[in-house]
Amino acid sequence: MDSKHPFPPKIFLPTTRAEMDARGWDVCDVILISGDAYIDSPFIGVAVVGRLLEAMGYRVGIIGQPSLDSDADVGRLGEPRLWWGVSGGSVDSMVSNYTATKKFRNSDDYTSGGKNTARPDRAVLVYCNLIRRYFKATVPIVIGGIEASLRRVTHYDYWSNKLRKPILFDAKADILIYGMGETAIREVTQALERGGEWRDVRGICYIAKEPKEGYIELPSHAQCLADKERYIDLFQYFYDHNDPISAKGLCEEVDGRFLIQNPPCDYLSEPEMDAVSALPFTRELHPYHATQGKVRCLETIKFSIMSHQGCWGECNFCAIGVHQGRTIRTRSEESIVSEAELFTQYKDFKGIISDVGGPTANMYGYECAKKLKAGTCDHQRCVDDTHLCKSMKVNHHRAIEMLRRVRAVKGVKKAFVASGVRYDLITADKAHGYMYLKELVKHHISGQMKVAPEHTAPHVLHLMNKPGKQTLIDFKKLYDQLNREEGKKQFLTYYLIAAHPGCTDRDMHELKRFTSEELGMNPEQAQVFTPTPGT
Amino acid sequence: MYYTELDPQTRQKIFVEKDTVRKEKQKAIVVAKEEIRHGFDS
Ligand code: SF4
Repeated sequence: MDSKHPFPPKIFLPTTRAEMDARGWDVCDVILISGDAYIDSPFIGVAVVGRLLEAMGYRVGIIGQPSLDSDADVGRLGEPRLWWGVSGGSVDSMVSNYTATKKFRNSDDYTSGGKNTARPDRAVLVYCNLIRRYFKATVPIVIGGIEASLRRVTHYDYWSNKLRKPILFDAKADILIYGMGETAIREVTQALERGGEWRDVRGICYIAKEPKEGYIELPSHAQCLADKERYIDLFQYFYDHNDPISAKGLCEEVDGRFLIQNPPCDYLSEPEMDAVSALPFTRELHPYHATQGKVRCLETIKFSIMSHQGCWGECNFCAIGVHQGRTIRTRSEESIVSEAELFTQYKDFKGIISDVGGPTANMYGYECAKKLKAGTCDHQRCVDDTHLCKSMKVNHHRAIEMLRRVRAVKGVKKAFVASGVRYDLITADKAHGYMYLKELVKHHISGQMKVAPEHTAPHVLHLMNKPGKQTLIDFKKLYDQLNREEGKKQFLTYYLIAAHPGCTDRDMHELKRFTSEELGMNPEQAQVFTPTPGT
Repeated sequence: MYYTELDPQTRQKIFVEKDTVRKEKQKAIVVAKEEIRHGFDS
């Protein structure tokens, strides 16, 4: 932990002029604007960007959910010296504002008070316009976060039911940083500081008059509009060229100009992941917002630990693999344990860690050697509905040891694993899968474990890229056996999806039959499928 | 897939439920309360 900061950290990045004054700043180097309230947590992208830049010595201000009818909020920190950053927030603003059946959502976990009153639709576009309205000829606007990242090429927008242009053609922004982007943020900032060229930085998109030599030319936006198969081609290139080791640059023609997508920026190494996690997040909502009430997301993320990033499960309805990448980047056990120790310093920590996990909890601590050397394969998937690639040596050993160390921390009573667990990987790991599940059953769940079969109809599972129902049956037997051995009465609950492409009423009746006859339960919840950008 | 109504691998046409009411109906089928006949423990 940085010795400049109190322990546990208490100082936010400025969101008011008074805080800038207190630090003796006349100007910020970078101002970040977000569709979320300012929540200073390692789970919140804008907070991570702010803390990263702060660690590099830059002066960063953050404005959460600015009002749109005046410059009172967007102008309250003045104009930045280097760049504006704009993010729609932790969730795409359209996903956040509307349900799968397009009803307005009344609640918002990232807004103080919990009511959905502060996040505009298409927040990235709206905030860029807001900046341009009050700051003419200003410094570059850089967009990032999940909304910008997953809308960076031509994409299907469910809410307007049409293909939309790459977001840079609609947003009045200069640079788009995609994916997790830590390295790109550093390099873009350094380039702007030098007054030098930023167009070579990996992990960014921008608009140019000409295509870039050596880059793959995607089907144009007009071709995608005219022919659905060309849109599938575009998506395939976009999906395949997403790995820092193997991806090529891409360009796409839109109305006579070109979107240029440089290859992805490098992933963080384990020491770099540890360093980001050790940045001095307060893990609180900034008091500026607190007058309107709490943010609900902190109930789960405040005392949670992100053990790794990335996911190679490639469920077709999920954009995590596209956004975070398909290679697992693991934090060291020491870093995870020291975060658990940090929790014990907080007055409101009751000994409960809400989650130790990542996109898929049991991908911690191992990867395919070939992928680490040559990048993801574009001709096959690490796992699909029928097989697990032989090169992926699933191994829960490190996860078991890491969890043992976390729960041994003095002051920790329970460390939950609430992130999704892939049960097919447990049954595939003959050496350690049984022990991993045993440890989960004994120490890391309480009353129930959530798993995500999503469906049982083979053709739907195939379109989802999810494992077949036999793996679920095998897993359930093991889970029930372990609970019996441990003398526990714990249940399984299931994430299920209705109305996924390929799914008919008949398939839902079969799913119902399976849950009641073979799983012996009545599902209380199922999600109606939402086609989100990037899936 | 949702937009194209094509399997991206085979490029064959697939059924996609696009009607909001019928989507809700699909959900209602699986969450309907029913007497449980038999099953494993959990
Ligand atoms: S070799 Fe197999 S496990 Fe490794 S990246 Fe390729 S598909 Fe994935």
